[in-house]
Amino acid sequence: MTLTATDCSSSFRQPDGSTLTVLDDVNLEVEPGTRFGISGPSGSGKTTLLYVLSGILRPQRGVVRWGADELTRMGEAARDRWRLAYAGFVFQDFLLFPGMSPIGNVALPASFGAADRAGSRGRIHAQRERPRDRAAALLERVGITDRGRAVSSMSRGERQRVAIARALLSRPAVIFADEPTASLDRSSAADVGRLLVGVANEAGATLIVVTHDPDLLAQMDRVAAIEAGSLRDTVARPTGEGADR
Amino acid sequence: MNPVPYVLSDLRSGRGTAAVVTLLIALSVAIGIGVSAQELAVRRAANAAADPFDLIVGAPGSQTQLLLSSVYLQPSAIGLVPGSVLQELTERAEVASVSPLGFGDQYAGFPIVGVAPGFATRNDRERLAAGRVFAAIDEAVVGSRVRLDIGDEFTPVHGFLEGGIGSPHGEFTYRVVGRMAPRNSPWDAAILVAIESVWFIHGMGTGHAEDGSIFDHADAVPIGPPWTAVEVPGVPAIVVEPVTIRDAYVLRSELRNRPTTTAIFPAEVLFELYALLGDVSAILAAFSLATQLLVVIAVLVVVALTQRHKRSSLAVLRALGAPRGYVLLAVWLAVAVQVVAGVLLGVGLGQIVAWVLSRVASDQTGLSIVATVSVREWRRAGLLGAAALVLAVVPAVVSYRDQVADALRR
Ligand SMILES: Nc1ncnc2c1ncn2[C@@H]1O[C@H](COP(=O)(O)OP(=O)(O)O)[C@@H](O)[C@H]1O
Ligand SMILES: [Mg+2]
Repeated sequence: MTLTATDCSSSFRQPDGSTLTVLDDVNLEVEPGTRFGISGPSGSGKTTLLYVLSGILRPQRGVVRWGADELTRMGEAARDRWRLAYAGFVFQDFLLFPGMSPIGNVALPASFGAADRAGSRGRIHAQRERPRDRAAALLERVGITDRGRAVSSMSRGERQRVAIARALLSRPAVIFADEPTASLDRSSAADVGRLLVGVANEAGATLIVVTHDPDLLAQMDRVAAIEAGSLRDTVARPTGEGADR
Repeated sequence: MNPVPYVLSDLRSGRGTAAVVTLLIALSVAIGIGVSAQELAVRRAANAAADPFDLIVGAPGSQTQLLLSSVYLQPSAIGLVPGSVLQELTERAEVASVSPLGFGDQYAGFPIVGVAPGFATRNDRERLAAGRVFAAIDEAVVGSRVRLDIGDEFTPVHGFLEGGIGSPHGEFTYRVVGRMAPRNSPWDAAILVAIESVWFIHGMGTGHAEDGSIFDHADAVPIGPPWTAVEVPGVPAIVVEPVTIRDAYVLRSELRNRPTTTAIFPAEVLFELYALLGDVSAILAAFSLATQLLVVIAVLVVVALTQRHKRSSLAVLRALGAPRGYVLLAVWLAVAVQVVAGVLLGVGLGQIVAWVLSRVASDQTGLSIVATVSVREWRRAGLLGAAALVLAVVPAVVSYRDQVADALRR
């Protein structure tokens, strides 16, 4: 699925009544399977861009298209279904559910249950695998072996691994990550960064990462910086140069 | 779509709050149930205790006081009915049986009541638990809760108060010869003696024609009606068993209008009393409603406070692809679980509250008060629960309408 964003603009009404334009006619095209990094100063609109590209936020203007699906023309429910079927999400602060076991956290999206209504697009239920079995396999893949442990007793690095496994449950075509290593110490940041890139490669998924982490940026195929509302490519390596594919 | 796993984990991670909410709901339900069940139980017990008293004749004055002092043995100063009325009633065709009630003495806090022998067995309709009815002026039958055994002897003390501020009555002693079966009324703590002994102790003779120095010949004094003395002493109250219901009304209207007497049907006075107490019970109901309202507000505040924390969790669900309906259902279910648990717990708790209140009230009144949670209370609890479930739609809809991007920024 190729991502095409055309003339996307997003602005917010500020508490003082003024309007803050965060994205100003952003244009972007990302080939399937690309590892795409977004950097930029704090408050420049990186998270906003991620929300726009994933259909969480509808831009005031512009078009976001994933393959044949035009997110900007879909209603909220359709965008929810699209995310469930095609997207995985990794947040800076993991945002796991402490009342659930690691397996429960990873398998949770399977309980949303709208993906199979998307018919042929349904991916979670397309496979005959039980969600908890798949969750267990994914936890093993991300290196969480002791699955009986409570999430709250895990280190930050381990929690982000669980979150990465959760993002993989639906076999997503695209994984969005918002500063996935920013809350981690250096060595687990390096591990988690490598893991994220690795699992995206294995899945053949597009990876869109907002980050300042130079190690992580170095593993991207493309890096763009956001400044004054527009996106500017800073690095473009030929596919395959950044890391093993 | 199956939000149950999420709801369970949500309740688990916020179990402190969930427990508080559940307990608050339970408390509210329990108060409502306890108060209403208790009120009903008290009335039922008071009615039951008044049952054996068909018609009570007393001196003119407060009907309520007459009822309280005769049926419920509450000490109070009431006037005396002339002995001639007692004599007259014994002879009337409308009367099946008659017994005077002579109060004033006690032993160890148990009131001693002078009566006719038939009163102890309700004229052979009830059997004694042990022994026999008194047959002489120095014999006594005790109520089921009186701490005296058959064969025990005791000296009556003047006055109602325990320990007796009054003086003992010389060397007069009673001997216990029988024990009544429980009547579930204050009469279980009473000591029944011949009315003749009460008159005698107070120096008023025996009510029978052959007066004299009978202290050494207790057996010689006749017991029970007819009382044949020229001057039969007055008594505080007379319990009359009319022959027919018609007779009852005839007697009541006649005796009610005499200058020396009044007459009451206990059930009727109780009914008026309840109507009077209606205000009290309305206050009680208002109080319990106010408590419930406070609890509901407390629950809403707790839910509202935690909802702010939950907002970002719910936004994460949405970011991961959960539909709005899932979030709606998850929020509503979480509240519903707490409400249902709270209501069930509250009914159980209400049962306990009612039971404790019953025990306290039973001990204090001598009535057999049994509060049970009836259909009425279940319906009240169900209504409260249903209202809470409807209210729970509010936070659910708020979450449903929430903007994911805003909420994710918390
Ligand atoms: N919902 C919102 N309401 C108002 N202002 C917002 C909202 N979302 C983002 N902003 C503002 O938009 C700007 C960009 O935010 P964000 O995309 O989070 O930046 P970044 O992720 O690059 O730090 C910030 O100034 C932020 O305060
Ligand atoms: Mg950000």
